[in-house]
Amino acid sequence: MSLLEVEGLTKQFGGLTAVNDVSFVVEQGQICSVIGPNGAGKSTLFKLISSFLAPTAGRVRFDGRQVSGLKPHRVARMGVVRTFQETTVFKEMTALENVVVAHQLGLTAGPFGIFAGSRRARADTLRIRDSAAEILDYLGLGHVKDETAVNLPHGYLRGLGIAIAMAARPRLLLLDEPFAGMNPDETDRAMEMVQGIRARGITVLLVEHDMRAVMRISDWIVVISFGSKIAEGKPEAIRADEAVIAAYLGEDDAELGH
Amino acid sequence: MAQIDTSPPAVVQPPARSGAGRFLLVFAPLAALLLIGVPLFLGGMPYWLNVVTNACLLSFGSLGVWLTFSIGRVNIAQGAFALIGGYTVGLLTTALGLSFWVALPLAGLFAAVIGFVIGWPLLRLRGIYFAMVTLSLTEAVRLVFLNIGNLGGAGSVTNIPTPPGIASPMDFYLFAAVLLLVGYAGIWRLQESRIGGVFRSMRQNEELAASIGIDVALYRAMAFTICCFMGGIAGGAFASLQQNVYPQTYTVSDSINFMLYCFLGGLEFVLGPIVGTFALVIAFELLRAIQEYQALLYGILMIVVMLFLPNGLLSLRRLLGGRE
Repeated sequence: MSLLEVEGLTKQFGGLTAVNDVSFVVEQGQICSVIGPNGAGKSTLFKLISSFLAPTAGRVRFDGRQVSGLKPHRVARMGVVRTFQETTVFKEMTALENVVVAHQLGLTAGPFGIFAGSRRARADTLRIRDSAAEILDYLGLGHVKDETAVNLPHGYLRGLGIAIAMAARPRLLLLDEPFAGMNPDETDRAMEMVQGIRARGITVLLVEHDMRAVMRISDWIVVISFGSKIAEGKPEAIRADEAVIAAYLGEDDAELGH
Repeated sequence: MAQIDTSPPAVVQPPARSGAGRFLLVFAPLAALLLIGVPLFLGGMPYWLNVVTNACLLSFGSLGVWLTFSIGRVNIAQGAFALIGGYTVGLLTTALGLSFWVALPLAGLFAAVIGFVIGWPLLRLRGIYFAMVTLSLTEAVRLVFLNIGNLGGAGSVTNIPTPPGIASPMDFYLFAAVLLLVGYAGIWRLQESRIGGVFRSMRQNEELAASIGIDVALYRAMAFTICCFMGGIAGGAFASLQQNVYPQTYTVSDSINFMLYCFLGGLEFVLGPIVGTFALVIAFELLRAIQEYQALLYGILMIVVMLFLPNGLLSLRRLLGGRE
């Protein structure tokens, strides 16, 4: 059984069909990318998978269980955790506090235990501190962990966004345009990081515009255009696919790696 | 990832004081002031003792409003829940003859249950919309009690007995002061715990909070319910202090005041609503001497504070060279 199964997913906003009958699967341990021209419906698809939107038709199954229709926090608890575009973090907290609060799912103590300071709650606190510091170190943010997020340089914030998602212990990490706005050096480092995340046993599904990075990093690519899937396959196959080239016609050939 | 070429900002952290130490730093002087200072200086002034007793109860209600601020909601409904608490104590002690000490927790619980039921759907609203709906809630609750009266029911409750064991205004004051100290300790503990972290994360971004598995609807209902509980307790105790409760005991302006107390004191600190309440209640009493200019001066005072101390009175500390 595949880890994530997207079946006939459709989303209509009024008369506009943003996502039209899209189906694909993501296998355990893959890095899978969804690409497409601007306005192809990537973001909508992303929100449907993380259940921030409910589909008009079709369904998303994770590990054999239905995801569509559940509240976002329930989906996160099942192990499907998303990041946000740009720099969505808890701006008034320090980097460490950001990651600590994101450990909410790892709690063993209930609210009353937390309030009363039960032994279990104190053990949680210690464990979470260690885990948060470890995640920040791993993502190269250890030296800014006590800095308030709003003061962090822009380049660190996306890393912090991923650190927050990692703290929720995902089995499937959904990355929303992780390479947007990065220069080639930054993209290289970010790609290494995504591969590192996969090496930790986390499956990655990313939605991305940067074709160069996607071609190099992905095991499997799904291409959508005007809301519909037009191709899927390994990077080499996608690069040669006539429909994909046609969809990207007018865009710089270099983007497709030609 | 993506370490850009700026050198990492130098972070020099002051040595972290332990949680209990930071707590006592504020709690001990507050307790000394309320339990020793006030009885010593105001013991012979029954009028002012009554003012300070009321300020303690209002502070207790403001602490709840402060908690809803901490999840990012401007709550102008606390008057409604104080009124519900007041009527609960009034009716339970007069009609059913229950002891005040039984009626008061029930008043808090009743207000909390109503708060939970109303709050669950309302808390989906944010910003000005939530503020407006809570404002109308205060008026709606007042009208409910007014109409119960018009229909021949108990529109007002009078002759509420004083709590057993409380023989003098000083006894009542000490009870209110202890209640406030317990409330302060509870809210401080809550906001220092991981629940407080969850509340703050929701204020900053509810979607991000949901994405990491936080049940946003549940936690914001929790904050609002605790707030309503405290409003019910404050109103219940006040009804007993006044020995009566009317539909106009708490009106829209009281709800607005609860919010202003928090603003004035400062939203950053748990002490904020207490400082704000005492400052405004005492200022109001002092301005009473010049009746006709009271509202004018009150208004000017508020504008000046908002202009120069947007983070509340407690930010004075920073201007005076305090730490942070």
